[in-house]
Amino acid sequence: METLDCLRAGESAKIAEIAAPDDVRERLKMLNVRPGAEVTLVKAVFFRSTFLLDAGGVRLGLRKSLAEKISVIRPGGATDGAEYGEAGR
Amino acid sequence: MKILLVGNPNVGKTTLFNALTGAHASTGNYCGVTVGAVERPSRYSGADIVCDLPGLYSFDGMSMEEKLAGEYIEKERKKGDFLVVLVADAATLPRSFSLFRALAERKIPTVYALTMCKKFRRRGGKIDCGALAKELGIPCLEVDALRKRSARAFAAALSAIRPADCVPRADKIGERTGQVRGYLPARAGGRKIDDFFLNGFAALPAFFFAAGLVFFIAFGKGMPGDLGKRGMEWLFDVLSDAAGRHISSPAVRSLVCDGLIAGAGGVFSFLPQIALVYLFLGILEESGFMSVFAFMTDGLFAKFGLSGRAAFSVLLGYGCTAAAISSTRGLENKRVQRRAAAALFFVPCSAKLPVCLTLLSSVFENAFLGAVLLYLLGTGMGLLAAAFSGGEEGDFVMELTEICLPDPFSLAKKLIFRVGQFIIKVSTTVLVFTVAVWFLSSFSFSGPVPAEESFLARICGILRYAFYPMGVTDWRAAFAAVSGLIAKENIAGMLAVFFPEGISLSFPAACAYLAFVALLPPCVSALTACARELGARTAAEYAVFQTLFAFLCAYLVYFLLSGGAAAGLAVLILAGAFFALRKGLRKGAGKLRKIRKKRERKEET
Repeated sequence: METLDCLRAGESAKIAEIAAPDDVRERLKMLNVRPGAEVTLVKAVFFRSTFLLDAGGVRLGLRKSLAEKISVIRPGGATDGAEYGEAGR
Repeated sequence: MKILLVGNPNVGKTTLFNALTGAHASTGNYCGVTVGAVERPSRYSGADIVCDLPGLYSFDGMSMEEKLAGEYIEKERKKGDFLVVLVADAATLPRSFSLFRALAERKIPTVYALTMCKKFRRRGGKIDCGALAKELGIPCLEVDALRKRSARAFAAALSAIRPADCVPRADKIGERTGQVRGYLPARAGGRKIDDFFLNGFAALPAFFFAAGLVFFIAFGKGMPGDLGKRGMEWLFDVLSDAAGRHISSPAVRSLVCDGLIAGAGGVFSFLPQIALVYLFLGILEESGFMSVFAFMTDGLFAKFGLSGRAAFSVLLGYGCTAAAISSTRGLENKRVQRRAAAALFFVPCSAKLPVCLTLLSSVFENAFLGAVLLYLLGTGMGLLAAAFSGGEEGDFVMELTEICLPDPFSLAKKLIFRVGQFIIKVSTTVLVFTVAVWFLSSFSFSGPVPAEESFLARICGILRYAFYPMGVTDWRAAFAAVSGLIAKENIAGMLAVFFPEGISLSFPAACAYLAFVALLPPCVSALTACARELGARTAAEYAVFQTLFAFLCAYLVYFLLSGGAAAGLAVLILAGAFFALRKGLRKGAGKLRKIRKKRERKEET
């Protein structure tokens, strides 16, 4: 499964899972970032340490450490370069 | 009739609740601020009880709040005579449709309450409540919860509604997600100005420019903040003189003038600068600039355990620690706030400068160079404190709002509230503390005495032993340091009083005392502000640790300067080795943990 930090600028994907503490997950939910939602990576700044996302019109920023905890599925189903057998967590 | 406020998180439900019931429930820019259902009687006729539910997206019980809300609504439906007010932010109306659908399916009488319409229209969005009402089949009302008139009109409109007329039809929305007659979304995504600032070359300089501007206006000599401070001080001097002339008893006069009025003056003299800081922060936050700056500079400041927004607060610390700590209120989470506060304890505020210069000039030829060194010392310590405190790195999310003109009304409201809070919460503690110190320094068992014979002098007589290892043996040095707790400027003042001819300290001792003063915890106003933000225990811990650290550093400086360079070099090498080793061990342990986790993950699948 790919994580959010694997996307390139301009690419979109659907959120599969968010492996973060409850309060962070709630905050993300509030900003349209929840499992099943589609997000677009607008840009990555500062040597890809901070990411700008667009989720249903809401723009939010998060650090690489949090982006690594959000698993995504690219449109088209199968992910390129995904490791088979690493389903779920 | 009971009114249930339902809606997505952060749409203004609680603000509306406060407006309808006269309560002051906490609102905040974080979800989860409303916990559990809160009921209060309504202020206006037309409804008896208003109930505020936590924010949610649906009733399917994915989270505790949603389950609770769903159950609550079912319970009320059985009791009858209630109305659900679906509160939605005009800018994110489509997000509320899943709730609308859920309410329609359960055939619950609903009314739409649309908030923040003005801001929405200013950004180019269009919303027509009449057309929306026709489209959705239920009444749609605009309300600005921050204006009393609007809230009253809203309550009046509610009273004219019969719940039976408000049952939404599930087919009205169906699968449509955004296109509804009567609603046109504002310009989506970023506009040119947002994209301009989202560029590294623009954002970083803009950040420092903004911080510099705020700093200069609030703390620069001759600028509004400085003028305000001096104005306040002058005012309280006048007050003190006037009071002094009308009081005959010297003891009472001393209490009123040197204790109460001086103490109050100390706090109020901060106000103009704090108000300016709050004002500019408010402008930056409401306009959306702060969120862009925080986002763009996060990569840089994260290396020190701070966020962009936190770094802004820390920069303000060079002006006034109390103002800077108060400004950490809006930080992303408590962990970041703790780190910023830890850094702020060390960052030298402008009040420390005159003290340091006085001490420096009695020791060094070039006081300026010494001052620069001290500032570097304080800054370095601050960054270390931030990097090493606060525990694990927290995850947080930065919402980037569009850049737009701030609303002056809500700015003013926020400003007044924050300044009021500062006055109420900080001034009482500071006043009590000031009077206590005044008492201890003006009295003894035999009644009012000059400072040299007071309680405090006796206490300092014992405290002075702590100063021996830094080459200072005079109890008056301890006294001056204690007086620095009230306001850092007092140290210079006290030293001038006690040593009219200047202090005579050996060079190592002078440097040690200087380092000590530079590293002392901030004044009681800043400590109180910190206690208000992070709790009294944290503030006390930081203060105690820092005082001990200041002593240790002073001892070290004295030891190094009097023991010769060789000893110094040895200590430095040892310290460097210690930190490098610790960092290496931490990194290694972290890497091991990651490898182990990856292995476990692979084994699971």
